[in-house]
Amino acid sequence: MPVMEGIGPEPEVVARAAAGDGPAFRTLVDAWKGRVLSFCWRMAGEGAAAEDLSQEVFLHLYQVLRRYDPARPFAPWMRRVMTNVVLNRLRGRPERALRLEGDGEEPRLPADPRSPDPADSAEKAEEAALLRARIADLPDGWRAVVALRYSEGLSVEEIAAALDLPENTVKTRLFRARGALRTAMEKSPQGGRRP
Amino acid sequence: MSPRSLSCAEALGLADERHDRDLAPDEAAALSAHLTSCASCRTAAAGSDRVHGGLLAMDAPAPSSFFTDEVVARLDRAPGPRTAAEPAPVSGRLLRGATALAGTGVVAALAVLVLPLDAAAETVGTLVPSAAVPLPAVPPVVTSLVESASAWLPPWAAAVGAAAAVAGILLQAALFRRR
Repeated sequence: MPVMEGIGPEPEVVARAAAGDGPAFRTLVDAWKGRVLSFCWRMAGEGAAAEDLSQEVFLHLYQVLRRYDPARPFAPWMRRVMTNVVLNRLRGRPERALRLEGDGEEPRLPADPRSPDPADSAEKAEEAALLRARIADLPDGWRAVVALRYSEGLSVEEIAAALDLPENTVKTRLFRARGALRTAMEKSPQGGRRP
Repeated sequence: MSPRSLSCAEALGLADERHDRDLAPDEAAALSAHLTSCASCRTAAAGSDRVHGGLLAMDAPAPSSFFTDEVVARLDRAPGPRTAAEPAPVSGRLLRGATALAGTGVVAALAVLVLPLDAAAETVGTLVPSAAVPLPAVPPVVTSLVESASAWLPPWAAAVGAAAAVAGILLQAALFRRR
């Protein structure tokens, strides 16, 4: 049964997966893998680290799925499992080992002369690389809030539920994280060029 | 009616919050008025917009086509969730340990019953005091089996059997503690 990304699996699929039904669990993985990878990518970086972390989320999910209460919505519970696994894993990492690739030292791509506005494209690419590197410098707790906000477009209330935090704490972290990113961008040689 | 006046801190807070919620009309008007008159807040708000836009524009990579297969393969290699039919690990270890100890005890008892203790005492000297060990009452069938076995076992077999039994018990105890 194909499940479109962004639409959660049916409750009976979750119930069957929790009972040990292999195909149902595969359906669950298919339904959530994009969202989980998107979160892990923002938390841990590109490539193998994010994909490996995503797989660990599902391995842990398989272990704890029996504890899920079908009377409650699945998505908030799933996000909680996901954030717990990722934050626990990142706590034990070597310093900066799982940071985003590049870390501000990525070689700059030459502007494509065929592009309608090569200067603008190169500038945007630089800015995106710089922003990714600066996100990696945020504390894990701030980065988790930013990742949930921008990977799934969650509201403050949903983020608070996923991280088991008060809404005001989420708002404060979002404000501080975006402020730190803005400051870092302005201080960088590439940043602050635009008004 | 003119919009209410905002401090720079309030204005920067609203400039950030508008990325997460729709501002009320009076908040939006107050923010707009402040940004019109305050160049530093205008610059900061523009920077905040740029960060917000950059974060929105970030596209995470799509999962690889074999992602689900890899998860399932790793699950096959990892222990699955316990079902009610499966014993918990601690109970399983206790059961295995108790079974092994019982088996070793049976071997030890058979060694004591089957092997001639007098001959063992002669072999190992004072290790087994033969006079102090009364034989328990056993059924006639077992007695005849013991007698026939004793007839062809060499004298030193008692010592070897007893030593093996003791070694088995100690080994099981050590293994059980390690688990």
